[in-house]
Parts: sequence; structure tokens; C-alpha cells
Amino acid sequence: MAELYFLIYVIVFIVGAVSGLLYSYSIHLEPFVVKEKFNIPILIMAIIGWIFTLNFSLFSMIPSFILISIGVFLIGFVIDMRPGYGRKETIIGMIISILIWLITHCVIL
Amino acid sequence: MYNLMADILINVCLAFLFGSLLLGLHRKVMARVQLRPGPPLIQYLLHSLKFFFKESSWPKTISKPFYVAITVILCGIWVTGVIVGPVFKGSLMIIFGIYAVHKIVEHNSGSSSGSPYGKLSCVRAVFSASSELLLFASVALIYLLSHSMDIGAIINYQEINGPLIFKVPLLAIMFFTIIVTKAPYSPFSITTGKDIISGFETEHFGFLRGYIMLSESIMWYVLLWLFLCLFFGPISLLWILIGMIIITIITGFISAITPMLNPNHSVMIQFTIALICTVGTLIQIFV
Repeated sequence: MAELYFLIYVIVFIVGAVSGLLYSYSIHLEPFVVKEKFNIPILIMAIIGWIFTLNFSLFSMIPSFILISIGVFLIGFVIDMRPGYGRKETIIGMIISILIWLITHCVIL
Repeated sequence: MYNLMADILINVCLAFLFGSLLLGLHRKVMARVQLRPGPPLIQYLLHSLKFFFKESSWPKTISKPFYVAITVILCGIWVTGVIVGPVFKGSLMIIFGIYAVHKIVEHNSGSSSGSPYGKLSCVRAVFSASSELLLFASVALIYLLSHSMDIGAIINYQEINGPLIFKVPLLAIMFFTIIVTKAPYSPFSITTGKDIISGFETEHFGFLRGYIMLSESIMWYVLLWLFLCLFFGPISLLWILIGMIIITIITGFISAITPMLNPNHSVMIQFTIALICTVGTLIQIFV
């Protein structure tokens, strides 16, 4: 049964990755990578995605399977944007999510 | 209710999709080490799917039945690998047989096309059979320790006696060398070297190339799964997948920073690793 769940997560990740790639190529058609500070909507997506995936136990009212699926989709969307984009957002999302995980699992317990 | 066919189908799909993502990650890591942006993670998967919809062409020099059948065999053996490994946790000897047939496929895929690059790859596939020595020694030493060829029994053995990676680290290094051998652009991948224009893969186009890429992603998944189960014991699927990501990143680093070896050097290094690790492991077991 675990394999089926992971297969669904992988498929959702791939769908997210394809969507992210198409989205970023529709926004950035330049033959070079534009240096930008932070893309706020993408940053929010990354943070929500990583929090849903790593900290799904905080949202006990929603089934973890649905939360992880949404999270993995958002992670895939940001992580697999056109090469050069979405890196900083991914790292910030990951750090925030890991910090929340550490606080809820190590500090509180 | 347990449905075997569904279990096989789910595992094969997971092996293909996750294996493709891992090989995409491998390319990405290599690119980042070499200060390039690199392709997206899903590039390998997109390539594999793309080839299934491309027009196939047939070189004049091919031996057609052989040329077609060999790619199907390649796909078949690694699907069998998934069934024997993740689905049944069956015998290591079958995995050894699959690996041996993989070498035969590399050899015959090179010769069936009639391309000079394919032929060179075909000769190198015979050379690189030395990597089978590593696998054979690994299988034999694992048997000496656990008294079983059954992957499930070896996992159970580790549940009682602790993971083999801490007991016999040299054996793990030897098995890891097999993984490095099969990694793209690795120092030991002499059969698909860029000096021979990707070797046996040069002359396969369209859906045949799609089959080869599909098989390679499944192979990567099976080899990593095997390493993690044989040396870390009873770990959950989540940790297996995380372990696969870590090993892929490590092999990406190795591939990025090491040049491809001359075939003779590749064989000699594999022999040397096999010898040192086998002797070291035997000393660890018996002394």
C-alpha cells in the first residue's frame, strides 16, 4: 500500500514539475537568467508546499495523504521551474519547514 | 485483498518514474558541480517519453530481429528485477543473472547495429564484465555472512544482527562500486563513453531508444533499492527513497569530478577494488 501512495506522490510531483516548467518558460523567454530577488507568489508556494509535506501532522483535520499531495505538487512546481529560477524560494521554504518541524517535534516534546 | 498484478504494476511504474527523476537529479548535480545551471529534474523522464513518440529509423547495417529484440530484452530483464527485488524480495542469484544478461545486452546491442561505435562498445562490454566480479564477490560474501541468498532473509538477518554496512563496510564499498559503474558518465562507464559517441546507444532511435532509457531508469532504481536493503536492512520505503536520493547525489559528484577511464584502467581498478574489499571482508568475517 505504501508503494501506491508514493507512486501517487511521484506522479503529483511530476505534474507539478511540468506545470512549473511551462509557467516559468511562459514568463521568462529571455535567453539568459534574469537576476531577481524573490518572486513572492513562488516563495509562498514553496513555503506552503514544504510545510504541508514535512509538517502534515500539524493539520490533523485534513487527511495527510491530501496535504502531502498538495505539498509535493507545490514543491515540484517551484523546484523544477526553468533552470536558474525558484532555487532561493525552495531553500527558504525548506529551511522554514525544517525549523517548524524541529520546534514541534524536538522543542515542544 | 492482495493483488499481485497490481503490486507488480505499481512497483514497475514507481521504479520507472522515480528512477527517471533520480537520473534527472544525477544530471542536475553534475551540472551544478561543473557550474552550469543544468536541465530540469524531469528532463530524463521527458526524454524517455519523447522517444516513444519519435519516428524510428532503421540503419542499413543492422541485424533487424536482433536489433529490435535486444531492447525489449533489456526492458524485460529489469522489469524482472523489480519483480524479484521490491515485489518478492526473492533470490540474489536471479539479480546476479539479470546483471549478467544486462552485460550480454550491452554486447549484442553494440554488435547488432553494425555501427563502428557500437562495435567498440560491444568489445568494451566484454572488458567491463569485470564489474560482475564485484557483484559475484558481494553475493558470495553476503551468503557467507547470512547463510542465505534470499533478499527477504538477508533483511531479517540484519534485523537481528544489525545492518551489514556497519559490520562489513568494505563489502558495502564493493557493492557501491557496482552502482558507480552503472551511473551515467561515471569513470567506469566505458561502454557508453563519449569517446565512442555513447557506444551501443548510438544507433537506436525512436521507440527503441525509449525502451533503453526506460530500462536504465528501472535499473538505477533496482540497484539502489538492492544496495539499501542489503546493507541497511529493514528500512521503510520512505527511507529507501531518501537513501536513493542521497546515493544519486553522491554518484553525481563522483561522475562530475572524475574523468572517464581508459578501458584497461577501468578494469584494473575494478579488479583492485574487488580484491582489496574481498580480502578485507574475509579477514573481518573470520579473524
